[in-house]
Amino acid sequence: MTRTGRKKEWSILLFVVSLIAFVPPVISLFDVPTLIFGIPLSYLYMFGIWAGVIAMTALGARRGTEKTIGPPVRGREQPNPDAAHGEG
Amino acid sequence: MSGGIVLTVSFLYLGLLFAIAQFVDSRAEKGRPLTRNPYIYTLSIAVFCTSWTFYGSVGLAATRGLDFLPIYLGPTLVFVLWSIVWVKIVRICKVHRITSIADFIASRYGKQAKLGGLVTIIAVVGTTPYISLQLKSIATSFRILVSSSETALLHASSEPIFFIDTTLIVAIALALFAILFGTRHIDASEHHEGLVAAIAFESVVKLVSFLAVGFFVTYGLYNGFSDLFSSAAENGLEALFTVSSDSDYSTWMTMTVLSMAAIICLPRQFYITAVENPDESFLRKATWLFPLYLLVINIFVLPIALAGRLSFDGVSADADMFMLTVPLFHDQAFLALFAFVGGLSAATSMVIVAAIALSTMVCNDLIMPLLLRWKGLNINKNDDLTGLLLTIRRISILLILILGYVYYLIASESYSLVTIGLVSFAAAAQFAPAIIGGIFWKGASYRGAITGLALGFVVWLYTLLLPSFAQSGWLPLSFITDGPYGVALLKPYALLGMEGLDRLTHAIFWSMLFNIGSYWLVSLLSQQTAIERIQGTLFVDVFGHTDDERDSRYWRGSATVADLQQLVGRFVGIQRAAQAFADFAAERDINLRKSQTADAALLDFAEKMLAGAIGSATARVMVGSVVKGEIVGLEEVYRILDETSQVIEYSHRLEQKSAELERATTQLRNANERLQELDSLKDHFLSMVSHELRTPLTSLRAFGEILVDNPEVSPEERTQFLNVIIKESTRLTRLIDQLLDLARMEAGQMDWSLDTVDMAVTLREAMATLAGLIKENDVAVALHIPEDLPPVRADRDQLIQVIINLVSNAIKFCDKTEGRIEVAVSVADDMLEVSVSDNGKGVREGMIERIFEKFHQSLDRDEDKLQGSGLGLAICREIVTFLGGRVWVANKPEGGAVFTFTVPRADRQDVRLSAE
Repeated sequence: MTRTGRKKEWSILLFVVSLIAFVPPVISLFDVPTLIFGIPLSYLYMFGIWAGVIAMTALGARRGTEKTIGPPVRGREQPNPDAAHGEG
Repeated sequence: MSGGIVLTVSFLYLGLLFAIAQFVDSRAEKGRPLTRNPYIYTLSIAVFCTSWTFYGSVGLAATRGLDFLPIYLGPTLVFVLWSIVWVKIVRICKVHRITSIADFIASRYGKQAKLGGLVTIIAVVGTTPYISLQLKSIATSFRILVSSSETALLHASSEPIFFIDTTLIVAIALALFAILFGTRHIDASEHHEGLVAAIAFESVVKLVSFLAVGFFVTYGLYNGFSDLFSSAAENGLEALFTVSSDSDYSTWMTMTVLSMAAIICLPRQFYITAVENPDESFLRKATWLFPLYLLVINIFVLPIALAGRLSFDGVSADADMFMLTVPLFHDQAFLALFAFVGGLSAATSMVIVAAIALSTMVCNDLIMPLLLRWKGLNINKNDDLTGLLLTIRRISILLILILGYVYYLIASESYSLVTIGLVSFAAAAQFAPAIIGGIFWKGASYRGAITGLALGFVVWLYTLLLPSFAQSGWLPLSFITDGPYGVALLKPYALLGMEGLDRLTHAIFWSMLFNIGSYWLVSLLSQQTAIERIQGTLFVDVFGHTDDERDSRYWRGSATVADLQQLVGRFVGIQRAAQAFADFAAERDINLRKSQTADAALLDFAEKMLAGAIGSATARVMVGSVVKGEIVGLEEVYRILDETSQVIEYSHRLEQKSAELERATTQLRNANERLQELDSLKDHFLSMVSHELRTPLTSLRAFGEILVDNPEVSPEERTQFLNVIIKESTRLTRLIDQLLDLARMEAGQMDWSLDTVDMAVTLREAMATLAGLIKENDVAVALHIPEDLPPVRADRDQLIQVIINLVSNAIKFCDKTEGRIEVAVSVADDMLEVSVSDNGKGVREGMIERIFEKFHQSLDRDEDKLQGSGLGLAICREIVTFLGGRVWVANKPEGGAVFTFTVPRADRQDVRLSAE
């Protein structure tokens, strides 16, 4: 997420991925009453994916992630004697 | 439990809600709003969770397992796309002062009152089942709680209380409550702060109450989830662990799609999310907090449903009421009461928001346009209309609630909560094509929208609503089984013979086919009017148009400021209008006189302000009624706009090109000037050098010739002449050395050895070198070197060179008889400053800048020709500049010149070092 325009593209990707997870045929793979640690697999699957989608949305909605890329501060950009010398 | 207690608790709760709303409103009026934060906003969106969620989900889960989930997954999916869908809708609502979903659609398709009216009718009819669902749940839960008998747990009696049907009492009570809440005054621009706060509070209550029952069931009755699930598995309830046991997911997918549409298109969701949104940035939080709320409130749905099934094993119980009956069955009367309050909060929040949203629509988009058309009423002459608006809204709230009650009487008894709710969702989903298409497709037209909506609505009526009447006996049952008049192809649950789908999927398929199909087709076939195109562009490109003000500036003709203010005042209140106009004038720093003709901006402002109170379509008609002269032909405006924007675009590009050209020309000119300058410098330099070389060469040759031509020269003279020759050739050598040095420096090929140098030592060394020259010229030299000089960063040999050059220069120009030279060092911030002053004539004005140029000294010092190459100062400048310092000259007031140069301190130049 280095530029703002990408956020929309990411959110569309997340939308498509979660849609695929919640419609057949993927859902029918996990939609079985088998108990895992005493909890039905389908129940775990639904709420797990759901929580995952929410977490990803929250990540994507954070404010100002693009600010983490700072201005390029390097020695070369500083005024230096070399430059002054060149004009002499 | 006695009915008295339940009633008292209910009224106390409603009273508390009202107190919260009142408190927040009074705070907001004092300018200290409490509700302006994303958490309150998120909780208010949770009005999505109604009795359906609170009671109905459990009921559905008790019969069909996880099949209740898509109603909450759909909204989650839509909120994933928040930055594409919600931000746009919210922005449009803010820019155009949209008050409801009907207003939104009408405004998008050319501010047409007919479309707004149709949307309102669909919304009211579609919401009616939903309201009846809330009424039913409140009434049923109340009856269960107050009846003490065991059998009542299973099937609540429907005996009337106080000789009137409980549900009717509930309906009227809620109507009064909604009236008190939502229509205290007409809000033109402000948000309903108090309402939002109360709804948020209700969301907290229902969540806590639901979780309380969930915890009780899971951890009180059983030992956690796994215990509950394994007991259920042992009792043959495994089928409830899954969505579908036979891999048929058509209902699942239909419900997902429906709920996705519903979270945007339900009038109350649209109202609370988009219209009541105080700040766009709150969406950032709401976009994940709201789905999280949905997730949390759904965690215990399946456990409670399973516990209910296990508790009432083998007995047919009303699964919709497990939230109450399970705690009651286990003698937890207090918990049941808390659950009842939770259910009450879920139902009331929905009813209040829906009633307010719908009444606004009915008033703005249905009644007002009709009244305005009704010439006999002559509404244009009435003075204050705020009272009329409030009355219309209050009556519509009451009617909407009564309509819900009527639907409850006709159809609700035989259906479960979720079935009723889905009928409403299907109606709301009819708005989706017009809304989504409207914000992404400029070409969507009014005719397309109205045809799509009308057809979709008719199909919905035919395939979902009418059959529910038939099943309740209000229409002959043969309507369903044989089709109307026995036409089998028209059977409402199997249109054109399409069998095998469940009723909901069937209805959605046909209604959406007609809705989207005709919306699309008619939009392509029909011609957009100008205002449609303008509105279409404004909606689709809302982010591009937000900043300029040209939107809806298509009024021409004249209206006075007084006319406009009076018009606005009639709808929003005289004082409020006066205040708004004053603010408008103050903001723009203009003076509004009553008789002045309103300009386009003011007309636009007035129209938007009116739109906030009575909807965009009506506002347009109203403003039109006071603007004398005609409104500009919209076709004309559109053409002008279109052409203008093309011309602007074209000329903008031209401007860019010519700016680029100008820049290039300037650069070329600069480069050319620089070249010419360099050329003349080169010529100048060459003539200088040849002049300087010729002088010593001439004297060399002259003395050489003298010696050759006159062999009789005395030995003393010969020695003298030879000394002159040696001296001149030394000078020549030095000149050439200096020339080479300067050339190397200018070309950047000098070998520098930068190091930390002690200035005091260097100075003394340089002075020692000059001792001979000083003595020879009989000059008094004073050295001022402070203690503890910081070191400098420099090339030691070159530094000595600078000092020698400056001091010897000073020796040359100081007073011939009483020569005095002072060399002083001082410490500055990150430099050392060395100054060399003499007591000579000083530098002539105008020479101060040029003295450091090559050969200048020799050119302008015409009197007493002195030795020296004329390159010394130029070399000084080269060296000092390279070291990062500066050299300059100034005249002393008492006569004489001071040459000063600076050298960077070694302890203050990390930056420069890193740059090397």
